[in-house]
Amino acid sequence: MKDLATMISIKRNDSSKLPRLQTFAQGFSLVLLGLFVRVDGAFAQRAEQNKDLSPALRRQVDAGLKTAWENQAWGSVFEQAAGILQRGGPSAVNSYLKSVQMPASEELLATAWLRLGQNDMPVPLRLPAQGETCVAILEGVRTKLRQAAEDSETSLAGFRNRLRETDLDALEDVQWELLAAARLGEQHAAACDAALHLLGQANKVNKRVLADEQRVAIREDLQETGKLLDEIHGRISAVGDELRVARLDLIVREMERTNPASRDGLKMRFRAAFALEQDGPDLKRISENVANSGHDGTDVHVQAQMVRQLLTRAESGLAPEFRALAKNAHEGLAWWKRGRYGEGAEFQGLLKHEGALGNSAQMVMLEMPRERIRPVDPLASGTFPRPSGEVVVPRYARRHFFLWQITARGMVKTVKPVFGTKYVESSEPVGFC
Amino acid sequence: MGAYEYLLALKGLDAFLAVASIDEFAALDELVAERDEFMVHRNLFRAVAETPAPFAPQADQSSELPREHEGRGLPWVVALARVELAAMLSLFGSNKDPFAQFGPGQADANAWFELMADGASVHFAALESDPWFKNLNRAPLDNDFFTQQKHILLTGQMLTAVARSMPSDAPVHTRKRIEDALKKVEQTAKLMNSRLGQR
Repeated sequence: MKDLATMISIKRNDSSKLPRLQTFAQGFSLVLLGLFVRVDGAFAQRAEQNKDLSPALRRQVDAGLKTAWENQAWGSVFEQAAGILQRGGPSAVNSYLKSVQMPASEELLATAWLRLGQNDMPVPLRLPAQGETCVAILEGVRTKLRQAAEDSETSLAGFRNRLRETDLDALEDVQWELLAAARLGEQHAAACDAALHLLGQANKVNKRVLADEQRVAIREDLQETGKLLDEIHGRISAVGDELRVARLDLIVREMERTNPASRDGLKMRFRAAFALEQDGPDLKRISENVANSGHDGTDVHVQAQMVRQLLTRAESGLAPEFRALAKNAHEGLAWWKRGRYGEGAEFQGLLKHEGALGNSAQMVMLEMPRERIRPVDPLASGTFPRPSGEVVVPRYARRHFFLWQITARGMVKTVKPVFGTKYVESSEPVGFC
Repeated sequence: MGAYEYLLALKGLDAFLAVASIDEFAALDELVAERDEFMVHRNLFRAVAETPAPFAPQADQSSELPREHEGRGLPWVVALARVELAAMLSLFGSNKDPFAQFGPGQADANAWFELMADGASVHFAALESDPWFKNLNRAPLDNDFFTQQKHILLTGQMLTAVARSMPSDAPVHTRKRIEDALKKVEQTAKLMNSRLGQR
């Protein structure tokens, strides 16, 4: 018998006290306060010139920051990275991080900041943050957002090509990815605004935080990226509308083709009811918006009419009692997927942020895989642990196999899942409701 | 993470199951079975040993490792939600018997029992092989202690639920194994409680 207990080790870290929740906008605003209320002139005298990181800070990196990073405990990552950066200075900290094969401080801070934002979580307040922390976040965030805009542009082209799919399952795959991309785009645009706000606050508090040229360059870059993200988001939404129409069109034609009393007919009615449940309000919006635009006789008007007719045909095939039944099933299955695949902001996705427990709106926030899920049997290869970096979805065959280990918020666990492993960067989950 | 979602999942799915006709159930069952994302992993005890899970009746009917590792269809989906939710409440709630509160319905009873017997087998095997318990008498009353106490509680509650739901034709040997395991767990729980009482 294999020793399961040895597969799981527990490490302590009493420094990870996590903050209360705020809303997305509040979260980023509070970050600003937290970052700047404690800025003073002392950082200029810090030991930044020291090329080597002190033994105490090295220990903190090894025992705390590295564990938090590996566990994707974003609140803890941010708090610790900011503290270490303040005390050690960027060059010494980054040099040591590189030697232990960790990303640079700006990468750590920007990633944690964005990930907390994706979960509508604020980064911890009362940070021992100084100017370098602010610069590190801004530099890291602007690089990541620029990359995100480029990635979105590329994926948008792919979505367009896949709109021609005539297979319903394939079309629904595209829809899953589009929803994820749209949600991610919204989050990036919000992060861009928040970063601009951060930039605006920086020099108000302490003019030495950023040189004028640096501030202007970052602002212009963020503004440009923000515009690009907004524009791409608009195009993704438009493709999403096209896809909704194409999906319902396919379902309605299939529903009308099959015998309603047959098993296939009943299944297609479920799919039609699910599509109306999911896309009905958007489809109505499309038809009404276009219909109200006054372009009678144009292609746009013809399309609006077509959407209205589609909706009528779909609804006429579904009795109200059946719609109510399917609504329960649709909601149940949607929540099940979130329970099975959703990930919280702490402890390798096993926990939501502490503050979410007191806020129903933020209880809903979690991260989901970007692509439609094809679950891999976590034990299929017959090896444990799985090779590092291998993608296994879902991460946990059973969440509760691991949850029992988490008894206190002051503990950081190094969980080596018996039945799963980490997502790799390319399959990093994305938050959407 | 997961309890809130599974609770809402069960709200919708139980409402569906309460009024769905046989045909409607069968149609949705097929739809769910066809979708990969609703697949549930089964027989996780194979991570521990290449034998059937000891608390599943199959353990005394065949020595062969079950070959079916995928649960597909509505009963598996509902059963997994019940098992996960109850286990999370066992760990973080105050309910003394969450596996009864979120016990199976008619449609998912078999799937639920299989997941429970498999899960209880994995948890008990993990406890048995955990060297921490060898020094229980001298273990400090720290976070590890309370963590292990939670694991004992969860395993005990799962074993109790499995024993209670064992099919009437289950082999005697299987029942005996569960009883013995429960005794061990209860003894350990008592010892841990007495350690806490001495504090």
